[in-house]
Amino acid sequence: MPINTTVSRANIVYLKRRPKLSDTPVIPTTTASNSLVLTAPNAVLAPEKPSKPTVSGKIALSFTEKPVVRLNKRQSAMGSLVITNAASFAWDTGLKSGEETPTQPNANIPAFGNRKVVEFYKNEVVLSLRYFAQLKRLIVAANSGIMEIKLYDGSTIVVDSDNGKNVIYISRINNILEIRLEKLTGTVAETFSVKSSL
Amino acid sequence: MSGVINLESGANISLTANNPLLKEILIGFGWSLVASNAPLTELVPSAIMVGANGKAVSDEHFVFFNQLGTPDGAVNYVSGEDKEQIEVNLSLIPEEVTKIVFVVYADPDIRKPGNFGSVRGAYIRVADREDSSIARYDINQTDIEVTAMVFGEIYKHNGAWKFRAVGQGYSTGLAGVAKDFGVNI
Repeated sequence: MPINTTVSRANIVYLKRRPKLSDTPVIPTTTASNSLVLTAPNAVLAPEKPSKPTVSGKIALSFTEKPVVRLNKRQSAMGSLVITNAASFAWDTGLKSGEETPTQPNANIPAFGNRKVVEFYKNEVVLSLRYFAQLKRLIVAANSGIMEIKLYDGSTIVVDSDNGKNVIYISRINNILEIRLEKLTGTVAETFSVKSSL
Repeated sequence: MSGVINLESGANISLTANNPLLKEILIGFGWSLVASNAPLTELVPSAIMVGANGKAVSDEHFVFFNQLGTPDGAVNYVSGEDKEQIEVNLSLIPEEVTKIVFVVYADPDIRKPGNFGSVRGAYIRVADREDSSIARYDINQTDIEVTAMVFGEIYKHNGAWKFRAVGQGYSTGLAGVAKDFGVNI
């Protein structure tokens, strides 16, 4: 029986190499109180403080009250992020970019494990959070009405498209996803300088 | 320590009782997938630091590829051999932690999330800091109902750390694991 032995870990972009005793430099461990020493455990292990609102339950994005939210590390990397009522999306890996609609699939979108990182699936935009690190940004537009962003934990983010003038802008900040409400000033490609790569 | 001890499900081995100098251990995970043109199962190894109540100490004590270490620095994802590796520094484990559970789940992508039916040759091994294997547990379950599995655990017994081969499958996947161990995912 054929076995797929493809290494699946290359996408873990922040993984550190495990040092062995023989190549580990001796680092003093008693310098935690010295703020000038960047190797101090306190500097490394200080808990991250979210600088933007986080997501729990059902929330709505609006320019006046909450234009941006950030997911936590678990929400950012488990299962699928599903966006309803979308008419198109633009994707950008930093090296490749393009657009997709329900009737015009884009073959250039990276795929892992025979799943595209993002695609229209049963009329919804589905983003694979297992491989979200492969994307630099994702911009999702609707023709009209409300778009809903659904997370694996059941949380939902509601976005009013304002007849297609507002879009969802999803970007990666280190290892968390930031979801932002943005206004179009032209087409998605013009507003966000997205070029379709061959 | 000489030779690798092969464990069966439920069997355990002492880690520190006979070797009190053992401070850092390496947990290695491996598997293969049956090749297919259909969406493949995406297995994700994880570690959960658990307290006496059987629940995770906190949500931040769930370690996986996007939450690479616990706040105390005791458990960390690292790179090396195997498919994935998790390093445990026994000397940094908080006193309140009674065990660390090693779970492998199929990523719950809504587009055919996958299961252990297509997994072959899964194993978990325990090694010392120099990557010299101490024990290994080969998991032969290929149940299509199983979408997450506890491969093994290290636990405190009479003040010393032991490793147990578990092999307990979940049909409820990551959500079931999170519910059992009280992790908000």
